[in-house]
Amino acid sequence: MADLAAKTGTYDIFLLDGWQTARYARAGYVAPLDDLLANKKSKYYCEDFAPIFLDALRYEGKLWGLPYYGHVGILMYRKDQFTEKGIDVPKTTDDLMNAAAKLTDKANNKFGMAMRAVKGEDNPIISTSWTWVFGGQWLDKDMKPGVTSPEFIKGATWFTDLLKNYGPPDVSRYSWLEVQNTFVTGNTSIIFDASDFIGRIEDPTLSQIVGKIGYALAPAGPFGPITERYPSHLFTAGMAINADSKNVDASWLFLQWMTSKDIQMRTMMEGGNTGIASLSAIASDEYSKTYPGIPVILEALKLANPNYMPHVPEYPELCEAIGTQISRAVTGEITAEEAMKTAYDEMYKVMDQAGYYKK
Amino acid sequence: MLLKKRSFYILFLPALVVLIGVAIFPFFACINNSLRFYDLTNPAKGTPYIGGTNYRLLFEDGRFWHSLLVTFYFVIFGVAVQLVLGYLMASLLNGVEKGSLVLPFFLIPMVMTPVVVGLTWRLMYDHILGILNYFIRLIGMTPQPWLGTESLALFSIILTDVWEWTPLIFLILYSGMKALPTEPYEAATIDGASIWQVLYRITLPLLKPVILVAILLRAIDAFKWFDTIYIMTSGGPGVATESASIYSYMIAFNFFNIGKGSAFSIIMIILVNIFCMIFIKIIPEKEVA
Repeated sequence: MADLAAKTGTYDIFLLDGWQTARYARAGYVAPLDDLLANKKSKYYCEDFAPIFLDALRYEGKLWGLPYYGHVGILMYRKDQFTEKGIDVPKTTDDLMNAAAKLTDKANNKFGMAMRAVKGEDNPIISTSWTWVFGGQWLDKDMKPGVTSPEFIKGATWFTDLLKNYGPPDVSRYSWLEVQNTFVTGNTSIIFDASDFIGRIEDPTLSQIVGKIGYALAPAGPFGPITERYPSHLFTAGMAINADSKNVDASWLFLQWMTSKDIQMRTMMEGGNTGIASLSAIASDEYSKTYPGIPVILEALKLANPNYMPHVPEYPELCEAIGTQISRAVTGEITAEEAMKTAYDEMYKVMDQAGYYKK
Repeated sequence: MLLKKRSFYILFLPALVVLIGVAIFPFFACINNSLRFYDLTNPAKGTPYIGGTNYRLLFEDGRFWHSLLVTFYFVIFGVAVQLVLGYLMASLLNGVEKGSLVLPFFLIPMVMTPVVVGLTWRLMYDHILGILNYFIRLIGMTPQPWLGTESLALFSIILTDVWEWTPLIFLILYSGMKALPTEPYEAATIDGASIWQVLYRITLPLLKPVILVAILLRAIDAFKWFDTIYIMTSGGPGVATESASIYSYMIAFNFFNIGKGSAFSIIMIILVNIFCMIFIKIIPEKEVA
């Protein structure tokens, strides 16, 4: 960051967080790739990036990075326990709540559901996937915070209740690592998280539940069917070119090579990178043979929507405001409604200071 | 004076250059930055002077005050517990012959890398997999979500700090005790003083300067405590363990708002300085010498 701000051009290429594309693009630190893509495409270019990952790296109609890594949200659950208790795969958010309730046995430290609720970026990417399928949005059409809308509060209440009642007692500090831990040790029955978790949870040296895992699309919320709104839980890391780079052509070639299908396959097979971005690589035999959840992931990639969180430069501050308050609500110390009121005030201040509300 | 004036200045120069480089210049640059609008991700707006706006925004921010409150909890409760424990450990070891042989074992927490301490405790505090709850279950009590609720997280974080830094206080007090003169104690034994009388009338007064230095060192450290908190909770759940260092770090290096972050650190410098000045006033000078 300091190097980008100093405009030295020392580094030609850097990894760009999809959600921060707007921030870096506005600052003028990243070079847009559209011209290069139109005129200087090489044989390395991966023609079948999942469209959603490209969309995640767009801001103001321009493309700012090539996806190097990406994931969407899917439901991962214990097939054996579902059969044992006669539970069907949840089709709606209410189903999911009931399933989690049936699988929770607090006295024996068995919990129905775990998701990331730690403050910071982890939590809003997931929690607001759910508020979105309840109809809530971060910002309304006047760019005012939308987190106190009835839909958003309903969604936030659902999310926090689910974790408060049927999640591990310290779930408010869960990041991806803790979610994986509790799932692979068999203490939690359902998780909703990143599709690339398959790498860890299907690895017999790291997981005690190999062979017992079912995969499903996330259930639909009250807003409508999943074809309309899917709890996307989208994250992309893109390779981007420094706007001050003196070696744009070479960088562009490297970018294409690094994200080429061939290299993606190799990072997957040799490096265990399960968050690859090429559709045909994900659908390949090598991948499908190792990981049973592939059809679900491919389906989720079609349904996910990159607009459930706003692409604005103020994203990190807004994210912090929402994430911290949802995390508080998960501890049970305040209600989701109170939490969202605080988040509203903080978000309003951020947007106001950024000059959105000047007449 | 042995040194002539000129040679004094020449010998003083290297230290001065280093000090200007690492402390004095950054300090004034920081003051300068704190008076500007300075957002690394918004270079189009430049870095114009905006007077005290950064300070005003902080004072209006409830989270800023809360982070200071959390910091004071750390300083007051953390250091108090460490002092008592450190004192007990030191007097215990002082009474044992060849006690210094076990001394290195007491110091292990202190010399561990804070990041490792944070990661280890984070795992130990885990509700299901953590070793703390394992023992709690063994003796038939209810496992606790150590870092999962707001009140408990604050306690757990302080507990880790106590574990990590009690050895420092212990070390300072232990060496202080070793240096105490033996005559007053012999006299007290002859006069038939009780243990408590010896403690209040002899040991504590004699140790007072050492204790105050130990408190001062630890309090300054606790005030700017960052590493283990960042690893264990990064200030959560909610803002329960968000200390001033964590919040100012977030403003400066997550939001890249250098102006506001600088204003925050200036406020922290002022607070630490006020605290130190009061404290140094308490330490009687001749006893320190």
